[in-house]
Amino acid sequence: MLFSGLDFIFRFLPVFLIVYRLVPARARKGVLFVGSLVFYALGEPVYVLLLLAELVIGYALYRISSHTRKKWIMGLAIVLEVAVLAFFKFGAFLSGEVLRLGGGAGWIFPEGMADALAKGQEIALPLGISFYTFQLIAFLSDEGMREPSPGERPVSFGSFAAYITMFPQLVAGPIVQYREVREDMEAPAMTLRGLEEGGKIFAAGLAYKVLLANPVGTLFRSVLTAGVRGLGAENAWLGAIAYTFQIYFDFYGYSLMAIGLGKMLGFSLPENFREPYSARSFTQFWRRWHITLGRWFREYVYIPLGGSRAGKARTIRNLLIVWALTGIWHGAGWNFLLWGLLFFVLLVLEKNVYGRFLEKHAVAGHLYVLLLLPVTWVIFGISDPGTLAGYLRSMVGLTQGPVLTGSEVFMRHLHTYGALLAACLVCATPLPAQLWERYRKKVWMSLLLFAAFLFACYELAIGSSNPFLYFRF
Amino acid sequence: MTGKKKPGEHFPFLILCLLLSIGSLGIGIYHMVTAPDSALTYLQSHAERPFWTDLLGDRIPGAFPEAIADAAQETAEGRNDPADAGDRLQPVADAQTSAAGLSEDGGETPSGSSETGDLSAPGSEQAQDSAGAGAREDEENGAEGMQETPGDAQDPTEEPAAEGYGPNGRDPYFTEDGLQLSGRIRYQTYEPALTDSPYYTDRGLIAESSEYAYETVEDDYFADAAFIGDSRMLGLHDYSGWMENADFYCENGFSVFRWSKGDPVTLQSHEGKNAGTKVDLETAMREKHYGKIYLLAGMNDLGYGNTVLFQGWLRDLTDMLRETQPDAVLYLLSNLHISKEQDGVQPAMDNLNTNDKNVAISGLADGENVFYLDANPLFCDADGYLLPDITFDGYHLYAADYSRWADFLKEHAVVR
Repeated sequence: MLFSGLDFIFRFLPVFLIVYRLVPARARKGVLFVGSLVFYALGEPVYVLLLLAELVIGYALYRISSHTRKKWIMGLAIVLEVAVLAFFKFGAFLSGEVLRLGGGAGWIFPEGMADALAKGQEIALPLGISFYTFQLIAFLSDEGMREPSPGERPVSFGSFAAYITMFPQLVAGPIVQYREVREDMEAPAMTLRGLEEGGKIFAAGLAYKVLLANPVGTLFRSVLTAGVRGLGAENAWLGAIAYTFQIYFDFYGYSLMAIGLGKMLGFSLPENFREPYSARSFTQFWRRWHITLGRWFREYVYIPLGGSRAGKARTIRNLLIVWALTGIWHGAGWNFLLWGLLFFVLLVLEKNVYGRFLEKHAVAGHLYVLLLLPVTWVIFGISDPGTLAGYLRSMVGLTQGPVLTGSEVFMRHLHTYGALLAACLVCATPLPAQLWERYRKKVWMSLLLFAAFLFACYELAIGSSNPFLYFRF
Repeated sequence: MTGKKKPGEHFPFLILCLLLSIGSLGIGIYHMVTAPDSALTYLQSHAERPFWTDLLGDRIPGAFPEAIADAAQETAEGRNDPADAGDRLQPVADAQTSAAGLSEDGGETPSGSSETGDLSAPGSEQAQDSAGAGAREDEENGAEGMQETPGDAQDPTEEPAAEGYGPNGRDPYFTEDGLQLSGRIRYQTYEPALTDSPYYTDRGLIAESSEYAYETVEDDYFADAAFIGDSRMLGLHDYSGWMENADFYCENGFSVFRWSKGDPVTLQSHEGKNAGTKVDLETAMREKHYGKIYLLAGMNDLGYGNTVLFQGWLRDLTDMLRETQPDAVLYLLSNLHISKEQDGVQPAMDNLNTNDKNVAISGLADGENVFYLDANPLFCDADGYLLPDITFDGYHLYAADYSRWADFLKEHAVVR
């Protein structure tokens, strides 16, 4: 079930809010847990059992570990979670690659699966597994590995389960740390102000997703549909820019919806984006894009490996590991690994070569980021190597064959999408956030957001394109 | 609610949402009270309406319940009987035997369980059912749509003109549910599947291109051509090189259903400098003169009504074109099939439906002024799926592959 769907907004959410409001505050985490399971099961009727199993086993190991004071049990739990994630995420991909490269290992797969793998079809990933696994690991690391203060009792199953599964963040983050919800979890408060603010933030997120991300996504899709043979440079760049906007407003919109929903339920979920396209270097970019993921990798991988405190060579090795993992977390494909490694290279270069220069010269920094970003997103967005190579070639003017998708198509695209691209550009600047900071309590702000909300619902109702890019994680 | 409200604090957003809820509820109740039947139909069809995603970069409003309600209305008023389609169309009651003849020649269909097309006189009952049943009666519709065995065939009055052609190889004839088939088109047959879709029927037929002594022409043949159609026709506009002289009346989302509702269509730019201008097609046809007209529609009609209704709207369009451009050759192009990966992914967007619409299109070809051209054999594999390496989304060709389609049209030109 998507947040940006009428089913959720007008059926699930009102019913849930009513039930949530009616029960006493202490019972809300139970309602949240059960409701979130229902929410998940509606999208994933079979794998909801996997989620439950991971919850129960994870919690059991947590309690055993805290009771027996044996830390290695926590380590075991973490390894188990990672193994499950790796199996689903990469098992199909790696087996497919093995089969493709001619390994005769087909016999180990069940009937039919070998055929599917040979054709490169992926086994469907359980919804949100990448997100909830990371959240589980965060909990086990934070709560399971630290020394409890005297008199502190272990986290109850209800709190734990509600924290992991709460539907605002279950499927696509933000990746929440337990300390951020610990206080509210015991008796979450549902207030008018929370509903008002949360509703407005949710409406903003929905508008970003439905009114900006979805339509601009059709532009990128149009360019891909035309194919890379004969793709002119101007259309290649136009498509790349469209995708750059699409993935930002798609994911940022979804995160805003999550935060808004959290507020409605009495929780304060962490922010996930902070004007990333205003960054002046990629180091800065990654502190503003998918903030909770960067935080997760820093706290649970980079720092345990030694961070930047163990000498230059170690630092580079740690960065390499983190970025390779970040890449493949986003998808099982060579292009994702390439994407992660590209950022590794850029970040190392920034750290050691031209970082200072970028800090001193803001304009150069902005240009550098804005020019390279579409290229990185193209690598992220196109999984097929042949298509990706052709697209990148088109971007640098080395179109395959004679140019077919050229200036005529480009002009038509500009006419069709020009206003939308301008709106995307404006909304990608710090302006909307500044307006929100200053005028969030004004009535006209509510009117504006309500109008956006209605328009978004209208677009959903007439069945406009409604993909969600980060959904396959 | 815990009292976390400061004095003087208002909640405009919540108030607006509350007003929205009350307003929607009010409108719903009003409808239920004043027009309970149509409200009920709407709710039922809305509940089962497919999630109509923007596959083709199109914006397709959910007109499905509207189309069904319209068709039911027309049938109730006696305006949807194919037997009234005009004096020139004679339904042939003895076509059952030719169906039996076809299936026996095919050698595959055991008489007991065969479900080949029952080509008897049109039953208005059937038309009514397909029109009115809509989404509610999926299973019942399927059962009624199922063709009867040709066991009770009548004797033919004439010999079939040739294998695969209709009863006398000349006149149009009709299926049981009122779909017109062309006497000049050769239909391949196969074992049809049992379908329960309200949108289409599997008739076990595949239409071949009109037979004619086509000539191969050069690009200048298209200088006085008009191209009408959807996003695929737009691709032809972009990549054929003919846009300079020919007129392209096409846009993403074009459908004969929406044309029948009076929607304008975009006359695309000749230099590609702008996004074109919206025109009324009939007005444009009255103002200009074309030597040939190419029409491609159906992809965006897959979810509107059913195939018989689709053919009706298409017939209105072709009648208009023939009337306003009597000298022009009219080419009706088949819809390209869908790739294996995308086939059936969205409800109604599958190859059975596409083929059914193509059969309907072919039914209007007379082989003299109106020709049916099917390019699918160029682009599909042996099972009829669009080849995967010529498409990104499973529906549209790559730019580089349009030249083959353009060549196909150049090789199938009617020169008079």
